[in-house]
Amino acid sequence: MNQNPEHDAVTELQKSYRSYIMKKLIFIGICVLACIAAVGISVTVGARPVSFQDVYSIIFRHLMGTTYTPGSTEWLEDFVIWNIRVSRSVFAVIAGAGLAVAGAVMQGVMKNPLAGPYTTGISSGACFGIAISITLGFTAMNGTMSLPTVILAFVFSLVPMLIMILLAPKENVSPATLILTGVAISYLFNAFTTVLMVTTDEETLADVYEWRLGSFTNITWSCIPVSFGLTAACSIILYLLSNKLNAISMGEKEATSLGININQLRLIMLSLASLMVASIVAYAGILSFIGLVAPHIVRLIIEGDNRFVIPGAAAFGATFLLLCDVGARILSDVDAIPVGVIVSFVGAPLFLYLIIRQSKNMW
Amino acid sequence: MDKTDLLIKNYKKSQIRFRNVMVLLSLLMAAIFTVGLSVAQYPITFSETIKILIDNLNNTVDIETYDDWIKNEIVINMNIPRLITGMCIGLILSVSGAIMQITVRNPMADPFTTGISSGGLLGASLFIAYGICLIPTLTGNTAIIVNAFIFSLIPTAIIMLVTSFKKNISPTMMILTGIGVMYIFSASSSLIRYLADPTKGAEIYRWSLGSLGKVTWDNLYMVVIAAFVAIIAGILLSSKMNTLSQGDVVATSMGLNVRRLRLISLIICALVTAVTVALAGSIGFVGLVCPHIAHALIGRNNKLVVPCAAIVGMVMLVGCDIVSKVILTYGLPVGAVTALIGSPIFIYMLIKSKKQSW
Repeated sequence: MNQNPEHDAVTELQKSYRSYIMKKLIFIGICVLACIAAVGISVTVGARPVSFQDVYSIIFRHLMGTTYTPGSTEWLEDFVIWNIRVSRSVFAVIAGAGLAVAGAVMQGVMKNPLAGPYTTGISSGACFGIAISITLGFTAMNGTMSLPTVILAFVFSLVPMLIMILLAPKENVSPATLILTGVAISYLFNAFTTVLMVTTDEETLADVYEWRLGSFTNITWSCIPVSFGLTAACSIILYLLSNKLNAISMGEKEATSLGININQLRLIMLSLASLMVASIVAYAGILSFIGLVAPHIVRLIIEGDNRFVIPGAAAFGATFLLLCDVGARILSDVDAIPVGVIVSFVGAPLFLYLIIRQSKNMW
Repeated sequence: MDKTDLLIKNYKKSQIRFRNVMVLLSLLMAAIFTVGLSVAQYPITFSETIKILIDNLNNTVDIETYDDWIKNEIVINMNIPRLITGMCIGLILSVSGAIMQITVRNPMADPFTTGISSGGLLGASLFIAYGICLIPTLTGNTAIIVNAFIFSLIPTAIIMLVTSFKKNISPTMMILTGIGVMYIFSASSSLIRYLADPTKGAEIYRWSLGSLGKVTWDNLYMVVIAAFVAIIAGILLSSKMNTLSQGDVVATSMGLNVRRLRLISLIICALVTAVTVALAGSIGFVGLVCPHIAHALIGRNNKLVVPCAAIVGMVMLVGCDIVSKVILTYGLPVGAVTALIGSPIFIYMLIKSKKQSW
């Protein structure tokens, strides 16, 4: 029967490759479903007690174009559900996915398992840009004046990024050095922000502070277009580049021999990641650890092929952030706990666990 | 024979260089100290300061006007303790940084990047917001200081705990464990500060910024003692640090218990830094940058680096503190000034470190 052993081996290989791909696709599929489910839960949680079915009938009616007389109960409920909860959930999906993709790309480009928007100081840089824009009067916090803020945030997120680019290619740079550098950069930008904020009154300080912790309180539909546009565009480009990222992860020589200009690719990918992070930080503040933990967990499950890690991390990060937001709203129904705090509480111990678990072979 | 001569010559050269550098830095320190005596938001001339000092030494202070009283108060009870605090804390941070960078083999290690300050902040936040103190009988500032001190030691305690479970732990992992704890602590302090009422939140914020102005004659002795501990420990450890910088394997073969040395130096650094965090909050970049400046000035022999780093730290912190008092209308927290001055050096260092092998 087996006339052609070579052919047989090929089919065998194809088969195992297919199952290898299938496993990853199934995981991504599960994450996407979980994300949809999390959105479904997220819109039903909030201070105003609206039953599960009612929430969906309100959303359905809104989509059908029903309008209400302003001031009526229906109008109010429609407003709460559509303008607060739905917009917030949509933003959580964008932010979670964007940060996770940025983290996955940074980890791949720097070949460092502990890289991420927060640990490398890129978020703090963006945060400083926003503090400048607030003192200049472009208030990002109510979502009206968005583009200058995003641009400033992006410009300042490039500073830590450039430092990381200078640092990352070196063979002898350990994950610890990178993280310590990130901590020092955060210190630096916190100091800058302090310089700007030192003259403001206590109330502004509290506002800025809340926003620095990472909060969805001020998210409205007007925040969505810019952040969605930038995140989607950057994510798609990064996904298209994921083959090249795989080549980098094999080693610099191998990648160069495949005709890849490594330094250029690094610069492009990290800039895109920074842009994405800036567009998210501009509206929601620093949401730490999603960018670190989400890709990391995805890599633990489906291993290092970036073509699958990037979409997987996006879906996983979105789910993670949505659930943290739901948790924050369940713990306090007046929205008193910023989501960033919950994210840190979940993310920081995970970070510690990943370090202790991984002690020996840090990639 | 030639080679020995050359070595001796080089050694002598480095000794002379060390002496010159130390003399210059000491003169600089003395100059900054003298200037610092009269710098305040309230205008005091230099001759008035000298007169106040001489009067106080001769016990012939006569206060006639409110102006006299306030000037006397500023020079004697604010500027002098503040200068001494600045010197002590600068020394502590810089020497701890030098010790840590060698023993955990990482040029970016310093008492703050490895998480000691986050513990202090959590301890202080707990007391300011909820009145929780680990020693319940204490109140007021003492309670904040004690709380901050004890909490600052927790990250190091956790590092030690992890080390005792995992035998062959790398220095990288020790640092990262500290950082993981730091992130958890920062999240906790954020939550506390956020849930506390705005006035208390603002107080925590002010505490967290770091300032040398909180130390008075009454609690000055703590930083002075800590500074002595730091410099003595640094000098005693320096020859072992020299051995260790040859690499773990070489050091072990020369009879050094590397793991124990790491733990001991971490504990000492944590203890002395905890004192500074408790009294002055977190002041970054001094411990990170000063040891590198010392390396650039006098090379890699830790016996020389430790004293040199100590005095560089003093100059930097006291200098930054003076700047922080006069800059802008309201002044700035000293931590912000050290960051502004230290960060260009830090970035330069990062770029330059490409060529060096750590």
